[in-house]
Amino acid sequence: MDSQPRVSLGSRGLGELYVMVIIIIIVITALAIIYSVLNGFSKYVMEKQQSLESLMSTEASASLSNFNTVGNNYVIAIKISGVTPLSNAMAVCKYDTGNTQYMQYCSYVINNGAIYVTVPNALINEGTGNLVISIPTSNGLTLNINLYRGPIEASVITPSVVYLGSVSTVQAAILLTNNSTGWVNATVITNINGNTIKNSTIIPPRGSTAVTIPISITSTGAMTISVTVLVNNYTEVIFPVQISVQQPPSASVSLPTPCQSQNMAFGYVGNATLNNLQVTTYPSGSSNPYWGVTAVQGDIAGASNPIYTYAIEEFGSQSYYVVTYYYDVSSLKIKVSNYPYVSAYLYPTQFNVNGTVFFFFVITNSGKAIIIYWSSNTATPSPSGSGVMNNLDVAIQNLFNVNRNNVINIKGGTILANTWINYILTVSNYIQGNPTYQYVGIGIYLPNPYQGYYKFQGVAYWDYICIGN
Amino acid sequence: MVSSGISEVVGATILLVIAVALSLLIFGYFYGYIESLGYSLANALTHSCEFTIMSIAFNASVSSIGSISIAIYNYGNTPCEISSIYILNESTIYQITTTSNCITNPIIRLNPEQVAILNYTNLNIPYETNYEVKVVSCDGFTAEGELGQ
Repeated sequence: MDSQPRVSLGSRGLGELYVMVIIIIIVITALAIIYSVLNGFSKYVMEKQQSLESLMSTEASASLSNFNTVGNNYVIAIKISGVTPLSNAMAVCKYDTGNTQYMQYCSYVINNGAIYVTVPNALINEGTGNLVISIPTSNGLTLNINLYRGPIEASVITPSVVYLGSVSTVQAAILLTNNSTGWVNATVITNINGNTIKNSTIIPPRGSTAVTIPISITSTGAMTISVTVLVNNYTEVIFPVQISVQQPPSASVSLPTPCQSQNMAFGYVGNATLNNLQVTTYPSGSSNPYWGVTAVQGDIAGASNPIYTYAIEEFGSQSYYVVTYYYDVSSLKIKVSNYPYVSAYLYPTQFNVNGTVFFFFVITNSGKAIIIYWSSNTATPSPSGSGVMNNLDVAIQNLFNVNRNNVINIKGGTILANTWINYILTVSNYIQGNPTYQYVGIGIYLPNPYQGYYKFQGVAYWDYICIGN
Repeated sequence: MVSSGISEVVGATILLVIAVALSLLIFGYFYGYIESLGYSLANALTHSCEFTIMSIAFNASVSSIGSISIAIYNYGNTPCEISSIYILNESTIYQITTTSNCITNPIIRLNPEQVAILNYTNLNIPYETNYEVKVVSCDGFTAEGELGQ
């Protein structure tokens, strides 16, 4: 039997396997490439998502820090957090007055974490409106700050009646309150006797300031002084100042007994000086109340050289304010038993009925305080409300470090406008032991406004405040 | 004759193992490169300019909007060529401006980190407050903002 030649199966079979191996390599490599590319895609998408999430969770904020004028422009300092502004870009400033809006580039610089944006003068010279500053940041967000420039509340305080010869210059106090959320540059322009007086001041948001204008008194008659207030160069309408200059009345104030030279241990008897007069306000350190004091060089309704004082407050956060004008007489060591009387003369000119309280007070070194207050001459006398004297006692307690239980309140009578009123206090009736006098002075109490633009004020002259027998 | 080589099954298995190992070796060696290639490809495919509307101002009379100013800011990495601007509400679209040739003559070329204010006057668009402003770039990126924002 012939045997068939043996065919090598191995060579043919392995050759097919080589092809299969190559195909497998190609398939696996292709799959790997696809996987890698898709992985790259997924990495890209992941990064974008993280970047978006990071952007969405960014809490950026901007707050107003400062305001200044540089030339005719305004430089507004803004504190920012959460984002980084671009260092070499431009900000965009928009002034929005409703249906009329203005837009300009604003340059800015970054310094110590604050952005100083220069706003062109022309942009905010458009009256009441919103200034919106938009600042580009590195992550694509736009940082906006909105500064409302509202109207300025302005009021003028002057004595309505001035006697010719009593005073050569009256200080008109112009009170400005910024009702905006942005800083403003307020300029007060007055024309007095042909001379233009210009005062500029920067008022922070919700801030107040007082500008005093000296007005020379030269002749009798009605004086009308126009006052213009420019707020960021926009003109606000202010009522003119009116002062009636009159001939002094012929009646004269008699010197009270404790002020007569043979009886007086201490006294202000019209010597036209503010020497040693001290002033305190309560709460201390507050911008309210505004106050002023002048020694008058002349005669007021028969009293020579009295002291003129005023106090006014508006939009304060406290429920009441107190100003005291006083002398420290402790070094004189005046004993109550030797000099038991204290006198004071008051000439109220402007005050709010059922609001303002004028008082004079005495404090001894034994820690006793006596307050004599005058009430309004109305059917419902001032002070209204049960808390007023309590508030005043708290103020005296804090200002002069006396025990609350040692404060005595005495009603001095009703108040009279533009008339001298006198009170002679017999201190020895209220004091036990034989202490010495420490402080003696005059004060003004003002409650906080309880409505809209209602302001409380107290303007008065005072004289003949003496310790004597 | 007795065969002295390896069996066919064993040979085939060895070849398969070598093939898979070789493939994995190639894959391992080029993985990083191919992945970055995929990343770059994705970046190139989704790439466009990026800008935003910072602020919009307008002047209007009782009945019509006469002028509009739009502040835009390029926060991306490439220049943005702006092709058209629209103002629209739910029912009407008003074309503020557009360019006929976006490549040679865009409305504005906004470089990265650049802020620009675009002003348009004599518009006479009926006055409403609920308009939206759309700014479109040549590569299709769109930024939107409300009138008066």
